[in-house]
Amino acid sequence: MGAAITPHRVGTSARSEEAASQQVVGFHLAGEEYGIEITKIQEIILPGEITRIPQVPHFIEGLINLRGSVIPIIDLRKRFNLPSSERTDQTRIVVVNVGEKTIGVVVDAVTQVIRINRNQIEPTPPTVSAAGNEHIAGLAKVEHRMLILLEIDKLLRGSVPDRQEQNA
Amino acid sequence: MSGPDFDGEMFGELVSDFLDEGTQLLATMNQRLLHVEEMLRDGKHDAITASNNLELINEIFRAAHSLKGASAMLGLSNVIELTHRLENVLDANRSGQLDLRRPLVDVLFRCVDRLESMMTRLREEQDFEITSEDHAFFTWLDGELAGAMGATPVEIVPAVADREEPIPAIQEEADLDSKMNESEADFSSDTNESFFEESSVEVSIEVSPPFEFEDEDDPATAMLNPDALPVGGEDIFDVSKYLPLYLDEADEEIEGLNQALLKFEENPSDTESLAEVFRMSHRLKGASAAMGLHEVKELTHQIETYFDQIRSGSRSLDERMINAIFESVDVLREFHRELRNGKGDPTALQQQTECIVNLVNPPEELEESVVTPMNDAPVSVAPAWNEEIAGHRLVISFDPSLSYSSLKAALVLHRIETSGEVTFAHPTMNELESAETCLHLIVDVATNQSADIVRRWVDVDGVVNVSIESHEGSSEISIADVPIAHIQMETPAVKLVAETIALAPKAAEKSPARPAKETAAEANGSSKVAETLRVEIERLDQLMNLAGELVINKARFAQIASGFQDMFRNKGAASATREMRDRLDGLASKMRHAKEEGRGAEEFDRLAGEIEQLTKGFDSLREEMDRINKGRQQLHALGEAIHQLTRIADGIQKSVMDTRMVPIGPLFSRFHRVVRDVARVVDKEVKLEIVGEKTELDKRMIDELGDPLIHLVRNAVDHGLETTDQRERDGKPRAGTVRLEAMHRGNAVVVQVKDDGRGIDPDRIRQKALEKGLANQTELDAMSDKQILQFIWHAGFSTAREITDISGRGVGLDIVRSKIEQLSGTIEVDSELGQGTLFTIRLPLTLAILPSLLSRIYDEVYAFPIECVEEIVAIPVKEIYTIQGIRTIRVRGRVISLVTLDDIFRWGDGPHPMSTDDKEQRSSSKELTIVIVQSAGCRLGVVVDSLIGEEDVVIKSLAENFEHVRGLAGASILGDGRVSLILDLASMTELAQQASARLSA
Repeated sequence: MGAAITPHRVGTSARSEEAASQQVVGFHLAGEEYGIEITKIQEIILPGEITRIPQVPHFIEGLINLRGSVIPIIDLRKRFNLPSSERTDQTRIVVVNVGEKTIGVVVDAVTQVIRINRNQIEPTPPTVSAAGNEHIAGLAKVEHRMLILLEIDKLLRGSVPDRQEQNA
Repeated sequence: MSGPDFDGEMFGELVSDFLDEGTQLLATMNQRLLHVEEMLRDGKHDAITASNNLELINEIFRAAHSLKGASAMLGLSNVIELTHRLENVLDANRSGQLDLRRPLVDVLFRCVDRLESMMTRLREEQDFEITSEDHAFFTWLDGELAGAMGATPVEIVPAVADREEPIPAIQEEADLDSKMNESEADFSSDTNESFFEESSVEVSIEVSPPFEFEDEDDPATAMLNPDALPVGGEDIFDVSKYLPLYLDEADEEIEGLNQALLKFEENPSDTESLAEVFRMSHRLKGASAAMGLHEVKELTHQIETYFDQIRSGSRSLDERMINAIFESVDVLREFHRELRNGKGDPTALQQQTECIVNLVNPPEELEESVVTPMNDAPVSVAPAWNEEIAGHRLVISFDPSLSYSSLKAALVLHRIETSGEVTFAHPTMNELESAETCLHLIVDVATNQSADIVRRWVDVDGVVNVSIESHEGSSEISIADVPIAHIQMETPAVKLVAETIALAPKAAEKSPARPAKETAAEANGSSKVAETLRVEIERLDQLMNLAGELVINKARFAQIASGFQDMFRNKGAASATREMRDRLDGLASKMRHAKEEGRGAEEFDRLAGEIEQLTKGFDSLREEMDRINKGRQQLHALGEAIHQLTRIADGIQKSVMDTRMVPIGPLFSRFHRVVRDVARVVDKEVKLEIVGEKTELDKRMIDELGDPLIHLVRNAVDHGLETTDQRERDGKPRAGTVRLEAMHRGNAVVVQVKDDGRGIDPDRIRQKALEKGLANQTELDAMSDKQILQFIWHAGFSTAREITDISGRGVGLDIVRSKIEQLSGTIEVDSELGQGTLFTIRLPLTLAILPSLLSRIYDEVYAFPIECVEEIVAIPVKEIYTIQGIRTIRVRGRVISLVTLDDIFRWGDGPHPMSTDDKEQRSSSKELTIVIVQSAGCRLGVVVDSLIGEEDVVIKSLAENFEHVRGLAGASILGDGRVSLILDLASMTELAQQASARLSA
């Protein structure tokens, strides 16, 4: 398995500021910039060999062994119906904790840790494509870029078509 | 009531022990009650009474009694209340005041159920208060019982109910100045103190005057009576399991006592060390009393009494006494050491006790007495009794209105025993224990005390009359133990009787006690106290996982090592040498040429220089070779180490697995009650046979197996068996039989549920399948009966004509199956019309590790549970036949349908990306490797690319980080760190059937 790249915590500032702001790990996906709250992230790893698994939705890449645990890997491009691409040396797996579960998401590249103030966050406009809408927690304007904040809690949920339907 | 502290680790332990024990006791009660009911049904007796079935009733009584005792120890008020009532009813029955008839048996069953629910509440909510529901139940019960008892007034409402706190002394602050006494209730407080408070600072002492048995009904008292607690008995609250706990505690206390004594001896004004001495002996006394270790209790009691006197100033420190007490500490230590190794011999303790007793209460008469020690052989001849040692016959009458007069009698007898030599008692201690009432107690005792003193021993509350007949030198009194009583006087403390001292050492050597002790210890060497430890199952789970990881890593090591071997096999050095060789050859020929051409010395110099270089090259090559050789040796050592690691890893895995194994017996015996209840509802006669209850399987497995088995057993009784009338018409025995059987089969456990009922009618299944649209007529016609039978696994499929409370709604078998599959097991059904039905469940020994066949399909590794693999065949492509679009093969006359993983599974949107080219390649290849699997009565050939081999894999749940995937039993991590998928063949078979249905549709 690839070497773990632990996200660096930005120097802790005053508590009041922390309450009003959050840190996110930014990453690229199909030319867009996304962010996941740092507290949800366990680690960032290099993609290794992924074992394919049947009977699951297409966006589940497969399973990997993360130091003895078997975790599922989600291809975020497929999840959001974005055009798929080859892996590059920038490709990373972001390992996140969703409730009790640990899952990995494949992203094009991890950029940096960004501190965002709450007042920088705007709600998602309803016009944003319905496909990934429920997974967007909000939009944040950082300098001149627009960062899409991901709601990872729902990545797995509802991800598997109803079994009856599948076996019919 | 203010219950004991539930946070206390000790208490928690005791509660969980209590729950284990209680569950067993309830099971016993259930079983015996079933027996009672059976006898009533058979019409053997109209009613079960003491005269016809004393033993049976006694057994139930004992179970109730033990439960009461155990719950009293923990202060579980609700359980105490109910068991006490239960006990009273049974006692009334035992003493002939109440006949046990059918309605009453039902009442008793309900009591047991209630107790069960109380235990559940205790387990889940740590609650043991009497709830309003309990109150309602008690009211109902009292009403029922009053009705059953009719005119016979028997005290039902327990004394305990009126008392606010059964064990009031525990919580109270200790009062070190309070007077010591021998009340048995004191022991109960001791028990609690030393078992419950690990760091007890103060000693609690009951202030009640000696021999006031207000608490004769106190179950704790009953429990603490040593004879009420036969160590090792199965049906009763078993103290022996606390033995290791006790021993650890006792060691501490003995050591503490020793230390405190040393301190105290050094500085007799040190009240703190005096208090410590007192505390330690007091704790030891309490703990030993709870364990039924009479002699320890006695000795410590004497020590305590002595120090009490010192503390109160009525006695000053006396060197002889201190010495005697130090010796006592040694004796205690020795005894406990022996106890740990098997069985301790209490003789030395008794001697020591006598010694202390004599020192504490200097028997003035004895000082002048001339005791002639007897021969060391225990002879029962009329001894030359000193006039002071006299035999007394006591006839003690008890108040007839006393409940538990036998208990009081036992206490009195016990008291006499500790004060003198009891040579005869009627009834005996054991008899008293099983009896409930005792109006008269006859005891012969030999003692140096006067009749008046003897009278004082037995003059306790509840005794209405004592007659003492003293006869000096009574021939009835055995002298056997008398010498021993005097041998102990060899202790320097006793210089009272010169004659005794002179003879003592010799007698001590020959004393039968010592060799007896040693042989006892030797004989018991094999029956050492097994030291046990309660462990949370979660921890074992974790340990199991770690053991699994170890096994995986071991495999990884082996893989790496074999990689090394390949590297070393590389002939790098050889080729280098070859190259040098060539260069040398070249050089030689050049030299020849040079010579022929007559070239001069410079040329030779140049060539010589080159040779030098080559030599250097050779040197470094040799170094390299040496290094390689060393490396090879190291590699060999690594191989050895890995081999060793493998052995250890396998050992750990096996031991951990063994730790989790428990017998299936307790689970099975639950079914007596299940069968009885169902049989009553459906009004059938049913016999339950249990075979193989010693079969062990993983604790988790046992926990999970309960529900499916209940489904199957209920089904068997309700639907499997015919009505009694029907059975008679069919010429079968009236009573139907349900048989539960467990056995080991290789690496699996097989559990069977079998009935001798009507069997499953395939025609009715056909009909039902047709009605439900599960298949059409043609399909059904083509199916064998065995195949038809498989429809019973469909959800909502029930052939029962009537739906009953118990079963028949068609929920059940599908759930049973999915449950068993969750356990990586299989279930099969077999049935013969008119003969019965057999369900066979096969389970792996453990949930965590699965012996499997690894194979490569589409460049990934898949694990087939070996349990399901029937055989592996290689079939030429041309021998694959297609029947209605479904590929099949023939293996030894059987037609087996053939599938690829692609036929069964969908990978995201379509086939596996690797499979397309594979298929073409496969069709051109000559042979296919096929794993024939067997599941749910179906055979299936699965095409694999290649086989890797058999391996134990550690199952990782997919649901842990993902979710269950149909067709997969889980994943596992291979030696190279990759994830492989474990196939769930039962659901794969279903998927395959659905797939083929799609194909042929």
